Amino acid sequence: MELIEIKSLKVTFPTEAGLVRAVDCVDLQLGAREKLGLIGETGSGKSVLAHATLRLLQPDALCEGEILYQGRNLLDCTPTELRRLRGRELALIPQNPSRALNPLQTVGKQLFETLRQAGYSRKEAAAKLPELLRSVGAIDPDSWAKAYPHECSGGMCERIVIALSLAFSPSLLLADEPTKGLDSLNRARIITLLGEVTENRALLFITHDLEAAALLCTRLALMYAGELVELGDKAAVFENPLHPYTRGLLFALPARGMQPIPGRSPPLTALPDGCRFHSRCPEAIARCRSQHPPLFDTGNGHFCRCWLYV
Amino acid sequence: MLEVKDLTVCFWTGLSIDKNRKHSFWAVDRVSFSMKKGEALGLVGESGSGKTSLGLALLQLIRPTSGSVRFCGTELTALDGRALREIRPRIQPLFQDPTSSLNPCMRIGASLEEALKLKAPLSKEEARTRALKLMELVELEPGLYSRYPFQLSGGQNQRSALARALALEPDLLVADEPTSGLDVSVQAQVLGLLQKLRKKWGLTLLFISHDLEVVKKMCDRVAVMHAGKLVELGKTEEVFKNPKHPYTKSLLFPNLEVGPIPSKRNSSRAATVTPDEKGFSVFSVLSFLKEKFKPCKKRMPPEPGWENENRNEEMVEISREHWVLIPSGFSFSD
Repeated sequence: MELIEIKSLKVTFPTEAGLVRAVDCVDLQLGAREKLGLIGETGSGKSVLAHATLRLLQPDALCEGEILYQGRNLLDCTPTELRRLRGRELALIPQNPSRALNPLQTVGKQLFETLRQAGYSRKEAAAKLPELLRSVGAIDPDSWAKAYPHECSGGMCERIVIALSLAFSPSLLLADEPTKGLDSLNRARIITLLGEVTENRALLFITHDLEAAALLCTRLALMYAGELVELGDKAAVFENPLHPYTRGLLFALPARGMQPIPGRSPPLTALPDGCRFHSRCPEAIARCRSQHPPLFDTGNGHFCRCWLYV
Repeated sequence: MLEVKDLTVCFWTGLSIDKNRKHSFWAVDRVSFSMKKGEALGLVGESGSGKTSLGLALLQLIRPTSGSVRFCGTELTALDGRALREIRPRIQPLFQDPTSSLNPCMRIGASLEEALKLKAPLSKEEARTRALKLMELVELEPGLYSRYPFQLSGGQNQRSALARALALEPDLLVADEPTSGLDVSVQAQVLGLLQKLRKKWGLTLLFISHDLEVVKKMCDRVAVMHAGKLVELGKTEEVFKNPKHPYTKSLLFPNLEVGPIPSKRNSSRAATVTPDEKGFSVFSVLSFLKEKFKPCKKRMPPEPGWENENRNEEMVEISREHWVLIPSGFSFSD
């Protein structure tokens, strides 16, 4: 059975400029130990999707559709039920770890508090703390526990946030751009660490770092302007990208020519008719301008939202 | 055009009157290099290696502890006050986070006009037309003239910051990780623009980054920094193809290229990356390096009186214009 199943999820925010359609009709499944990379540019709705899954969105956000976790719809859960799920079963590794930590408490205190919440006694928690820190690669856990977040480097903060998310040993980790702003060595270390800690867990890896996603994930989903545009196995997406947007992103990588995609993504308040990518697409045909393409199945679990694959 | 010699930046971290070595942190340690006009030099290294401090010291935004920075024949470290202000328009910075480097209370247009008015007194109309011209140059829509920085996207803000730097017609641009916060496509746009302007204006560029692929694409020469020291300096091609210093090697390995373009991957590089049974690559070099190199943060400053001491490490030119930091008396046998 799938661990998590998102069915035609729509998330909208009412604003002065009109309704922002941040996530539009997204269908996704994630198996029990699957690692899925969710890729898209800034504002494509990938973080909103993760926050909707944990029901962490602001109260005025409207969520439609279903998010089934082990057969239970998270959108119908009461706050008490959600509190039992969050952290324990579904854990978030938030974006910008140094801001996610409490600046006024030492790292050790924050971890201790979380471990206490996880049901450990004071003694057990104190014993478990260094072990937990060691599992995320701390060589000297005692000095880490004594440090305040501002004394930690970016890579260290990221590790601490990962440690916090592992305190309850959840079955799904949602990692929101964990490699953002890290240098290449630290990036490689964090990717390796994430691979290690999610060996027996499911991972939803949100990123715009295509290389990191390729190293860590088995399946990739690409989002553009709030909807899924391509979904498939890692190898299929990288070797045989179907959607022009995916191709554009791959060619924008410095290693592959650094060719930018012309133009900008459309504002989510005024989405164009037809395909949302057509104004930037080099292969657009007349149909793209008028008709919105559905997600086509091109075989072998590779899906693509483009009229070229009817 | 720019000549840096034995530049050292030292931060005192404790309340010690005699400023002894226990309380100091050597962010940049005796760095020397030079840049020709129109050249793009990439400065790479991991976070904490002192590359930003070096950039700021060149701009005289932090004053170097010792050493010299000569810019077009002028010794910058000796200048202050008015003299420094006069030369500053010729060296402009471009910072990492564009949103915080623009004044949040000023519209984009006003920000640009302010910079233009520094150069020469302009009437309102003139300033406006020149600001719009600058915006056109960096491919910003004229409609954004009266917007505030928070209303723009990261890429647009970085373009405005670039336009602002260019308003003063600088000779040297110090770009400190200008695209690390941007996503792939926007990064390609901004870097493409930077390259285009460099060709058009003959701009000299010091490009600070930790993204090696970007540096490979953008720069003629590359300098590698580790723990405040320059460990390798050479032509981009040469350094990437034939890295000599173990730290440079370690930096190159984790920077993996994805998927099906093995033809592009250097064969000698590919051979050393060993994918393990878990499916992602773990670098055997890393464990070796952990022992060999202490983390950047824990280094001790050199002994007192280091200026006169016999240096135990030196930059050696091992092939044409390829410099490597090696311990004295050490020779490359391979």
